[in-house]
Amino acid sequence: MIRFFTSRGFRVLLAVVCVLAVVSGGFALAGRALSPQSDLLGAILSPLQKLGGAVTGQMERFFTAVGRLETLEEENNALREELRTYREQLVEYDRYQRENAFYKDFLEMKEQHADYAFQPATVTARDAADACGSFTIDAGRLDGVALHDPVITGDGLVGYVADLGNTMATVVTVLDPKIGVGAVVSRTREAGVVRGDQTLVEQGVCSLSYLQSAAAVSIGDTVITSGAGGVFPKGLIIGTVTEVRKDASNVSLQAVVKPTADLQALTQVMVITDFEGQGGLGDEK
Amino acid sequence: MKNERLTRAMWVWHALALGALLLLAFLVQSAPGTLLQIGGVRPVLLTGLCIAVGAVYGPFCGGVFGLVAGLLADSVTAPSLAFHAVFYAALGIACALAVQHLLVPGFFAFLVLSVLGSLLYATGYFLLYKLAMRGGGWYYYLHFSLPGAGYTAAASLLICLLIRLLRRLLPAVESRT
Repeated sequence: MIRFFTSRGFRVLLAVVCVLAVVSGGFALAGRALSPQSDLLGAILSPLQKLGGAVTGQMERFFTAVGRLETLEEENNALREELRTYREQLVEYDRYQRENAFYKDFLEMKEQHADYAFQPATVTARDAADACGSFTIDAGRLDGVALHDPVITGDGLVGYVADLGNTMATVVTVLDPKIGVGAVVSRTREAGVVRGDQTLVEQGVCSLSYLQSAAAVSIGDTVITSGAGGVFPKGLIIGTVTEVRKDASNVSLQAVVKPTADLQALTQVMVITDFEGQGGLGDEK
Repeated sequence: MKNERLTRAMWVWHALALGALLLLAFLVQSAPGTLLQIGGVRPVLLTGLCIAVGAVYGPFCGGVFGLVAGLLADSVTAPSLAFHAVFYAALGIACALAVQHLLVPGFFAFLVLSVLGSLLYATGYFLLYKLAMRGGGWYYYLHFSLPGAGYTAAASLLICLLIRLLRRLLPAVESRT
């Protein structure tokens, strides 16, 4: 022990400690917070401390995260479920909004035509090979639909039922040359027949033929059903006149009519299953 | 016995895959709205599928597949005659026989069958549904039927290649004649 205290190493150590103590005490007494050795060490160690702090911080976060992993997963699942519910609600909301607008139009129509009996239907399919836009609906004989029943939307006439099953029906539109609808120009009461024209299908319009050559039809006039023949009820809007010209025989006038119903974007329609003055084409009801 | 069971199981896989494709094609083709529509015409995907299945799987499968596809197509066509059922069954068989006896199986055969099959379908549909029943004329044929046939032929070629790939991916089966 004596040998230790008398050794050179101890003396050097003691000297260093004393020097440091004196220097530190001196700096403390002089009012400086950090002694030079602390300052030096701090300068050297600071970057390492930062690095260490960052690493340990990451490790701490990692271990915390590992510890919370199960909780986070549960939380994540709950949030996903909540998001899914909100998305579903949004889809439902959009659907209700569309249906609301759809039924609002029909309510107005029902108020105007109390004699109409409606059967709502959804468009389920389209015939891909038919450029005239014939389509299938999810209502048929069991729903009270009959052959040649008129099909409409809130905007106007769409067409009629051309083929019928128990739970579905196929509808041809007013663009189809098969259909002939007795019509009048609302403003002038001039009568003609609205018929699909193959040369006009591409533009999504049909023609109002057999107008007298002196007819005062002009662009923008509204064309409505006349009720003649009893297939379509009187007063349904078919479309608006976009062009007036002489017909091929140069004897009468022909008007080009743009249907007010958007025939390419139909999703829901109404079938008029009964109305006052319904006659039909003789092979139904 | 074991071999027979294995073959049957493989056929079930093929049938399921083709059934799913048929359903998908039908739903896409007949979807309301303007999906895949260009210039007022849409491709008739079922025509392409019938050509492809006939050419790749042989006459028996082509015929049966064509019949089922035709029944689906007839359900959305007014008036619902059995036009599609008969036409597609015949198309499937004809394509299979053409590949077996007339054409060298491959891209060129698919191209020829797609063009001819689509043209035949468009013409048949026009003659029956437009010219005879609904009052359409040759203007319709030139402006809608022929462009539609071209669009369908392009889609058919893609479908043929897809079906050939499908057959290679699934476990091998012998063509049923």
